[in-house]
This record gives sequence, structure tokens and C-alpha cells, in this order.
Amino acid sequence: MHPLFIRPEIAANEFLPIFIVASLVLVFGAAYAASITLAKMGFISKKWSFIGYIFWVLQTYSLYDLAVRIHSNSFTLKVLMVAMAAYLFIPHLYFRLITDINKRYGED
Amino acid sequence: MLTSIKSHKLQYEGQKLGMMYFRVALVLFGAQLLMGLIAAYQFINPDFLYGIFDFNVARMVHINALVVWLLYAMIGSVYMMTPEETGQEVVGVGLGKLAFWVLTLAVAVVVVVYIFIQIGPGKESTIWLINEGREYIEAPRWADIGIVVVVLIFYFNIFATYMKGERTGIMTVMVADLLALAGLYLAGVFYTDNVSMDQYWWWWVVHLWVEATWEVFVGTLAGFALLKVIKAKREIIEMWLWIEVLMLFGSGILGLGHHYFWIGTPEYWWEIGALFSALEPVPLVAMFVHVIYDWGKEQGAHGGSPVINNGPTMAWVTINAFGNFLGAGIWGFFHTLPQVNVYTHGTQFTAAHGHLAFFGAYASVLIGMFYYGIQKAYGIEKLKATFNSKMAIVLITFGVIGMTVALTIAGYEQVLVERAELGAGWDPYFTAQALPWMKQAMAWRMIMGVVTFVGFVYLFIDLLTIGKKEANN
Repeated sequence: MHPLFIRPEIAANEFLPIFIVASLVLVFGAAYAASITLAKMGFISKKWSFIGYIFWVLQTYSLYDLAVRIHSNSFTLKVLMVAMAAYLFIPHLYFRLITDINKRYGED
Repeated sequence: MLTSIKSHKLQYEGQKLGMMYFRVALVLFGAQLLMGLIAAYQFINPDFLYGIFDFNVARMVHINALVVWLLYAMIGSVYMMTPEETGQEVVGVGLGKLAFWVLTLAVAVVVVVYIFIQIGPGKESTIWLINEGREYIEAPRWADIGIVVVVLIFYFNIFATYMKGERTGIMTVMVADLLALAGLYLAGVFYTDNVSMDQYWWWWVVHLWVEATWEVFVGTLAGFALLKVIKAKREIIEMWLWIEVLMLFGSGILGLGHHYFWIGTPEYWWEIGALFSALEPVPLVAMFVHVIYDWGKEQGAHGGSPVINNGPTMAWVTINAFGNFLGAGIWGFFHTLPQVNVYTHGTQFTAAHGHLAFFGAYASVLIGMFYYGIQKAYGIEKLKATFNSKMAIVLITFGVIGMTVALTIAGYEQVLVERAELGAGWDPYFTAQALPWMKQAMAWRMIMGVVTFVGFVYLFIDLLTIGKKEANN
């Protein structure tokens, strides 16, 4: 009989790294978005916004590492990396829209 | 005692109705925490109230009270914001008040039945009169029908007011979202004998509420609060809101798949669930950045001096932004992928995620709306946080985070021992339950539950007194 689901064999000592790296994906993702936000708002100098891109690189690596640790197939891995490439542009898209709104309705 | 929360300065009858909902929500919030404490203690001492008020009953009342108080607070919040957004008194407010009393009477009867009758035989009569036995929405069918009628009245009132008054972007999103939110409840009203099929539909209510329509609701409410509390620019708030709606529905609807991994649904749900669940944290990051952006930008835009006209509401909205990201985002992403979920499913990881996500995503912003209601009810221009407000914020937040950490440790122990080492099953379950890591984690969960309850007491006292105190200042 065809098995319904083949449980990936994850070693007991792999679970903690998996949970940590899964958290880091989101923490670095938020840090990237927050860095770009703070730079656009003028709270930090724009020259420091490269720190945000370091967070993005770390996030991408964490997601890759997570996918490998949980035995994702190669197609899923590619989809996740494409998603990360898209995520690079999202904060910039937001602020482009905000700038356009401010232009249209005027600053307070 | 709750009548000490006055509503005489409110301009609209609809908002007074909103305050009525808030009062009941507050009482149910307290009941939810009390039941949680009983259930938490029963984890440590299973003999406590055994045969009188068993763990399954305490847990049932705990989670149902949670859903009902959140729904009360949501309805109250909508009645609070609708007249201000539309510039219009709520249409059919008399009918709304009648519906409020009918709903409150029905909830009281259901709670009495839950507590004193508890369970019934496996017959249709039990489903109709006692409970339906489905987590979170256990209301018996007579109450289900009553809830549908009350919600129809509520929706008619809001929709008619919206059509009559100004149709702002925030109200448009709210009206559309409420239709989906109310309509989805219907998927949980009918009962099928096949457990897989029943679960299939049941998740339509539970998942599509908490990870789609409720999230949009919260985004709308947070947007409204930012407009009122820090005078954020409406155009930016509404633009963010539309983006959030797009992303929340884009990832949240098919994210449903992560509940379909192990209930007998076709295999394609693993791929769908994995992909869309992985995307679900993205809108939560967006909501987080949204609040921080508006706060920072708008404060700077008003000459540098902070313009926060309601300290407690702003504090709770900020907690919402962080809590939503942490509880729904990080604690959800922990165990949402099928390769990991096969090990974590049904462990205390789920409870950890549930506690932080419900608090962070929903309870916090709705508590913020309680304070907004108080501010309007007493006509206070600038509501400052009192000692009790601060104690409530610190203790409730610390307590919930403490419970989450304790439950995460317990869940981690279950994953390692019960699932990975021993291969799951009856004996591994009890082996894992008996280990010190589990017992100590559960003791800490109880302690942090008490901290949360003490925080609630401060909140309760604060909501009863802050309006009068600040109005006199």
C-alpha cells in the first residue's frame, strides 16, 4: 500500500536548530523591514541602510538552512529563494507608494 | 459595579451600545482567565475537582469564553467606530440593543449548561441542547441559530449605517470583512457524523477567522486607533490597510492547508499548506512596520512633541503589533511546515502558539479599544496611563509571555521524547507527561497564569476608575 506520508527522519539533536533557525527567518525579516523603514523615515542615516541588506542576506541564509534541515525538496527550495528575492523589493515598494500618496495629498 | 463605567458623554446611541458589549466582554475575559487557572492547576494536580469539574470542562469553558469575549469586544468596537467613521448614528440601534440582551441571555444559559450539565449522551439532543463538542465553538445548536440571528441584526445595522453615511476606506474594509467573518460561522453550524468531514468544515470557521478575517479586522481596528490616537494620516493608513488585506487574504485563505495535513484530506494540501503558511508571517511583518512607521512619522510630523491623546490605547496597539508578529508569526512559523508539524502537532507547542497569538493579535488591541471607549464615554481629551494601567500592561504581557515560554519548553520536551525518541503513541505520551521538564514547565505555566490574572485585576479596577479619575483632572 502506498504510504500516506513519509515522516522525514529528523535527528533529535536537529530540532533545536530547526526551531531557532525558523525564528531567525522572521526576526531577520522584521529587522530588514524595520531597518529600511527607519532609514526612509530619517531616524537613521541612509548610509546605514546597508545593515538592512545584511539582515536580508542573513534571513535568506536562515530560510535556506531551514529548508535543508527539514529535507525540503529541490522545487520547494527554489520557490523559497524566489520568494526571498521578491521580499527584497517589498519595503521599497511600500515606500514608493507612501511617497506617491504624500505627493498627491500633500505633507501635513 | 460595571455601571460605574459611564457613557453619558457619548454622542451616539450606537457607541453606548458598544460600551454595553465592552462591559460583558470584560466580565467574560475574567471568567476565561479563572477557568484557565483551574485547568492549569489540574495539569499539576489531576485530582483537583475530579468528577465534579473535570479538566475537559474547565478547558472547554476557558476557550469558549475566550472566543465569546473577543467577539463581544469586536462587536463593541465596531459599534464604537461606526458612527465616527460614517458621521452617522447607527441605524436600528434599538434592534441592536434587543439583540445584545438576547445574545447575553443566551450566553448566560449556555455557560450555566456548560458548568452544571457539562456533557450528554451521543445523541442529537446533546448537540441541540448541551454542546456540539467542537473546540472553540461548542455552543449547542439552538444557541448557534440564535447567534446567527443576532449577527444578522448586527450586520444589518452596520451595513445600513455605512450605506447611509460616509463610506471611508476603513469602513469599507470593515463592512466587507464582517460579511466574511459572519458568513464563515455558518460553516460551523451544521454537524456531520464523519469526523474528517466535520473537521474540514470546522477549520473554515476557526482558521478563516483567526488567520484571515480576524486579522483583517484587527488591521482595520489598529488603523482606526492610529487615526484617532496619534492623528495619523488617513491616506497612508488606508493604503497600508488595502495592502494588508491583499496579503492577509492572499496567504491566510490557503494557509488553511496547514490544518489539513493529518485529517484525511488529499495530499496536495501538504504543498498548498506549506507554501501559503510560509507566506503568512509576511503581512504580520507589514502590520508591525505599519504601526511603528505611523507612530514615528506622525509624531515627528507634529512639531516633534508627541501627540498621543490616549496613552493606554496606544500602548495596547503597540503590544498588538509586537504580539501579533511574535505570537502568530514566529510561534506559528515554528511548527507550520509539514515536516516539522508531523512532530509538533498536538503538543504543547500548539498551546504556546495559541496563548501568545490570541493575546498578541486580538486581546491586546481590543483592550486598547476598551480604553478608547472610556475616553469617549467620559469626554476626556487626553487620557493618560495610571499606575493601574501600567501594572495591567506589565503583568498581563509578562504573564502571557511567561506562559508561552513554559508551554514551549513543555512542547519541546514532547517533540524530543514523545515523538522523535519514542515514536509517538499512548505510552510515549504518558512517559513524556511524567518527566520533570514537563512537570516544571506546567508549574511555571500556572505561576505565570496567576501573574496574568493579577494583571487582569489591575485592568478591571483601572477600567472602572480611570475615566472618573481623569475626567476630574
